Amino acid sequence: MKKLIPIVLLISAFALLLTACGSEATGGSDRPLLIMATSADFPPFEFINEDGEYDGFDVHMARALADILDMELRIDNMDFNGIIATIATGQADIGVAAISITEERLESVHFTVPYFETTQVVIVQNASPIQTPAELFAMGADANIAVQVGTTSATVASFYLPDAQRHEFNMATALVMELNTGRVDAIVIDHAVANEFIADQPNFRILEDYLGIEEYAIAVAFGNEELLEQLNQAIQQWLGSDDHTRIYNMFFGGN
Amino acid sequence: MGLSFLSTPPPGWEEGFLFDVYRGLIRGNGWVSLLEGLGITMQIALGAVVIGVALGFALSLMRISKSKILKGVAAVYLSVIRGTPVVLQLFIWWFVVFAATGTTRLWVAIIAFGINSAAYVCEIFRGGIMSVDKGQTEAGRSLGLSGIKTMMFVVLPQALKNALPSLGNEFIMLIKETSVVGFIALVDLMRAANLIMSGTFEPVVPLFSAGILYWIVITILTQLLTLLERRLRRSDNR
Repeated sequence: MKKLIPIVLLISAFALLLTACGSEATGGSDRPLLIMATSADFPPFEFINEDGEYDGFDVHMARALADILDMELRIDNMDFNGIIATIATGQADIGVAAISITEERLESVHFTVPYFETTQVVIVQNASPIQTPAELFAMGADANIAVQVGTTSATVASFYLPDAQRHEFNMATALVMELNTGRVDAIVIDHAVANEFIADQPNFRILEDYLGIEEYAIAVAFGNEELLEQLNQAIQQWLGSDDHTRIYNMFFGGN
Repeated sequence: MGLSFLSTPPPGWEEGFLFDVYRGLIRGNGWVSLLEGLGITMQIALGAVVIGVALGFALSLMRISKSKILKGVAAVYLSVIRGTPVVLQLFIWWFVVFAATGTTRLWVAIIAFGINSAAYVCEIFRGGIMSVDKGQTEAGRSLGLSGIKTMMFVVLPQALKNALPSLGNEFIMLIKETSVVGFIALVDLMRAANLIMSGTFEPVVPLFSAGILYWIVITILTQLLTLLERRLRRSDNR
């Protein structure tokens, strides 16, 4: 036991050191800081890769946009549910997390021009008798579904499945675990993310019909119109660039 | 149930704080969700405290017993449960242990928190038992009571009285600790506030409403515990 104490202390000290230099951007640069709020549980848009670094379509795009604006990007990772409030209260500059433009969100933040179009889909276990979303809707109060808190998937699900038992999780990855246990019949989620999850989970399938089309954009606080305008120009410039094609193919090339 | 007939804000509530109150608590029947959430919170806390006290009491007896095996089991239990965060335990219960069973969210939460609480209750009871003067046991034994009877009729009643304030404290802590059950998609008071916030992006009304509800329940409980303690202490004043 006595021998353990110095080891434990050493590990703790090391862990403290690691966190001290853990943030994405470490000063040193004169460029102004651009703080990005995201929720890195949503592959291929934002996730933490095998090297423990932030990765994904949104992350690459944000880095490209920061370069265009000559700013230093720093990433703050949080629950998706907290992102809009974080932007609205000015604790971060931009919300980039596969955020769909909705009327409710527009009451709290500005959105840039859209940079991605997506749909909502239903995922079930291969063995499930459910073949179409309509069959799931027809189950009414007997349907058990899992969605992520504060996402448009949750809104879409409550619209199409008003009577269903809706279980809301903080993290998208928890939905996959929940469907794996068989405690829910289906999960409702963004299409591109669904493809990513399906690739890892051969026992799941996506139902063919989708529910609603949505557009992703970057959230910016009210009163920060200057940044909004700069971002709009940067996004349009980036969308027309080879870099966009390269990054798009990197994450969606297979589909 | 609800005030959904108020589908537009009442006169004078169209903006500012009153509008936030309207959209947070009335428009989507947020106040109903908060009260239902409070119900879940209390069910988990009450269920867990029952398991916690029963199991914790058994563990404390194991810990002071003379059997090395019982002592060892209790020590391992305490070390594992107190050495890991309750959220982690909750995840393990939900996604690993009970994954293949049909156990409901509520029961998994009650079991997770009950088992967690038992470790702390065990130490509270042990502290209570230790606090009874050794002379009491000696007196009981010399009056001809067996070891078990001395424990049951002389030591434990006094130990319980000494442990009561800490036990009450544990219950209060438990009510607040359950606020993490949202992680397994159980809609308790905290998660109800969170869901309102994810719809309106307005934090003040749901957070303060939930805070006030927690505070009211805990204040009432504290008063009841004070009354109980006073009742038990009546025989001290002569």
